[in-house]
Amino acid sequence: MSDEQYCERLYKSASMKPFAFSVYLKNFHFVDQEVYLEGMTMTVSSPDHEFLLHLYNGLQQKRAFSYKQYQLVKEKIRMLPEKTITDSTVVFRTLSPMLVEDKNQKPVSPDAPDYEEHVNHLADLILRQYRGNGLLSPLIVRPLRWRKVVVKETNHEFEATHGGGNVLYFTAYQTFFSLTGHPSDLQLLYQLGLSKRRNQGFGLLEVEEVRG
Amino acid sequence: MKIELRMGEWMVTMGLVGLYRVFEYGLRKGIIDPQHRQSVSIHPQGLELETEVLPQLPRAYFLYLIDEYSVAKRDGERLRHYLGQAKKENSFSTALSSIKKTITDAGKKIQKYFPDEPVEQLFETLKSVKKPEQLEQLEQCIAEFQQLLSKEAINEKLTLNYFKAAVLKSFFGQVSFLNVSNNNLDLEGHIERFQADYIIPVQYDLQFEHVFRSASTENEVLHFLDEHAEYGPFKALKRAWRKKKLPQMREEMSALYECMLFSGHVAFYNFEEMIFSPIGVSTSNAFNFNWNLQDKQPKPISSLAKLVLFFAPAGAAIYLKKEGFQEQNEYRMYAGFVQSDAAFSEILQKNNHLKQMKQQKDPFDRIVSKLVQSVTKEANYVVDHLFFLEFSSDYDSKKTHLHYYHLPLYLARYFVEYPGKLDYVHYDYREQFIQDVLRGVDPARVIYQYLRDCIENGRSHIGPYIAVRERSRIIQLKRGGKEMEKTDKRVYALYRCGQEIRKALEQAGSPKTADHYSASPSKKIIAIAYRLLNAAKAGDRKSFLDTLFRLHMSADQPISPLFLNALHERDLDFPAVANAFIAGLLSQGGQGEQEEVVS
Repeated sequence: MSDEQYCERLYKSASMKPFAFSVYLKNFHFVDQEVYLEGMTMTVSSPDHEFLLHLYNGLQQKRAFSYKQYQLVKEKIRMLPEKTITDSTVVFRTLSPMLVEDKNQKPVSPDAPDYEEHVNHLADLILRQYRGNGLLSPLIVRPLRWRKVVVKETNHEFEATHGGGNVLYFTAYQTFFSLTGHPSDLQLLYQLGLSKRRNQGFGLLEVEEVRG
Repeated sequence: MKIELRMGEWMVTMGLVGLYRVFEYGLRKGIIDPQHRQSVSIHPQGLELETEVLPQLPRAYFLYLIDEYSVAKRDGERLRHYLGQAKKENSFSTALSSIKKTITDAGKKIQKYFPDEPVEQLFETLKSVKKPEQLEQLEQCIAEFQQLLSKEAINEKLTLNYFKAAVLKSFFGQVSFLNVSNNNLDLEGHIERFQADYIIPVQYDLQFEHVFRSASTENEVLHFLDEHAEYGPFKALKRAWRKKKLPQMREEMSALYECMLFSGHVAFYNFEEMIFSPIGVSTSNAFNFNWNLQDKQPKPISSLAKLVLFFAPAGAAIYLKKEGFQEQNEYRMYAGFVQSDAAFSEILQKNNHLKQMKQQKDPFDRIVSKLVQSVTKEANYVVDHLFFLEFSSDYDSKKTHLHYYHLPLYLARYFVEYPGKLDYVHYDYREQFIQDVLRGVDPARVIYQYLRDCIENGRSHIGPYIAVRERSRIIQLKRGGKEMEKTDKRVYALYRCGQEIRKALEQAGSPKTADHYSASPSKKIIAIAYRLLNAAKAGDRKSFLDTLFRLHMSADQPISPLFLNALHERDLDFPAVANAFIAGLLSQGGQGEQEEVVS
């Protein structure tokens, strides 16, 4: 981030961040606990130009990033074409797995009977946080195809409380689903992502097909 | 008898200014007898008029207008200008054809009215001039022609025709000598008509008022009306009042016949298009003014008001104005006037100033700033009520363009604090810009036009940037005028961003290869500028920022956080951000010169 004030404002508050991202690993293979790859593409999506501007400027300033003993070198920044949604039904594909949990933080699978209800709740929350008001009309969710993805993750807070070596498991789903709702809701969800933990690489969507 | 003429509506004030100018001119030139020196005097509220001077005014009126619009003077000036051009070899032929056209046009008119003048001979010599070597002959020709045109009778006739058609026609309908049936009148004939149609009614009406006021019986009134039965209004009045008593007459008088422009005067006329065509409506169409079934005289005015309005053309500054941009423009004759709540003497002085500056073809912004400079020293109240007015009217098509330009305090401040800053803006756009500002309209639309013009014609100019900056300053002043310098800096920074990106794109422009075509950087810049401009015009912030992001990414440059103003508009508004950047993107001029301008 290029602007310290903005960064603080964004990360000091408990509110949701206005972006989602996904990571694509090029020709990767595992060796023990490590991943070997040829390159990595990170896609960030946000409807907030202010966030994007600071992110871009930050990336401009920094050529290389170090993480633990690894070195990441920035190659190129590109802007992807964004689709404009004007119809009420859109088929989305997830670019990063979608995480939907119930009140007790138990994962909800797309074939669960209350899946739609949970997605609605989540979408309403995301929109309310971003623009101040929630869904304009309830969403109809129709999962078409899905695949379970378990994400293994750890972070310094978790390690501090649970001790090193322990990891977090998230049960998420790579989904192909149709969403019916108000076009402007859909547009924002497309830009913001639809999932829990969107800022940690979950729930980035891509428009697959628009159905009138 | 002395009468007071009070200022009021702008057309009345305009008429009073005209009346005073004509009177002054008459005195100066000896047209008005020096014994009437005190006949028209300035009062804070208007003029005081000694009625004895009235019969001398028509001659002064015509001679003033003839002097003002003298064809000999105008054509002489034009010919001198062309002659100057003709002396340069490369512009000789165009100048020659202009000279030939001017001389032929005027010459034909001379031929028509004065068949004995040697015009044919002049045409012959002029025809033989073809090459730059014959410059001497051409000069000779022009001198002869000027001599011809300067003959009093010729100048008089042609000028009379000119100002009747070009100036008076936009003020009045076909009244009096302006009727087509009077086209063959000479100057004396015109003066006579003026006397008969405007001066005599005033004298009659004033006498009538006097008699009516002092009368003790109705017979005195009826007797007076009888004596002047040849005067139309009296005839009608007599018929109506034949069997009425004096108190009844008085009651009717105040209800039906009071002038709406000069109170206390008897009104036998009606304010309609023939009296003042820019805003008059014919009686049969004046339904909105009918009240209490008064459909014959819905807006009664006195002969005095009619006379004063007839002086309005002399009170206004008359000029040609270009309207519209580029190819879609048109020159229109406009009449301009400055009105304020100040004393009459000051209004007079301001209008003299305006006229003088218009004659020097000063741009509108400079006129405004000069006029304002004298005012701002006084109470703010005056500034608040200063307004400019201009109209272009065509009697034949019954169409008037009337613009009011009020000058609020913040604009007065702007013109005083930043005089002449708009000089770098192209003339057409500057006039439009100022007019929009005075009308309280956001001048952004003019800037869009200007930028578009720059893109289309590949023009590189500092002008659009200046326009953007001045617009921001005006907006800032409107908000209270704090942090002016910061705003200036922000606009400049955005402009510089545009320049930087342009430079980066030009440097990155890949050399063309045979198998792979890529557009030249300047073409790319034009395409991008178009896209940005369209987004700005449509107020589409998202599309503007998207393009901006792409642009910066392709140039591998960071984006200034100033652009965030396009979203939240905290320091600058979206049009200012967009236009300043686009202006920078389009500019390719030398750095040094621009720095200078920016200060």
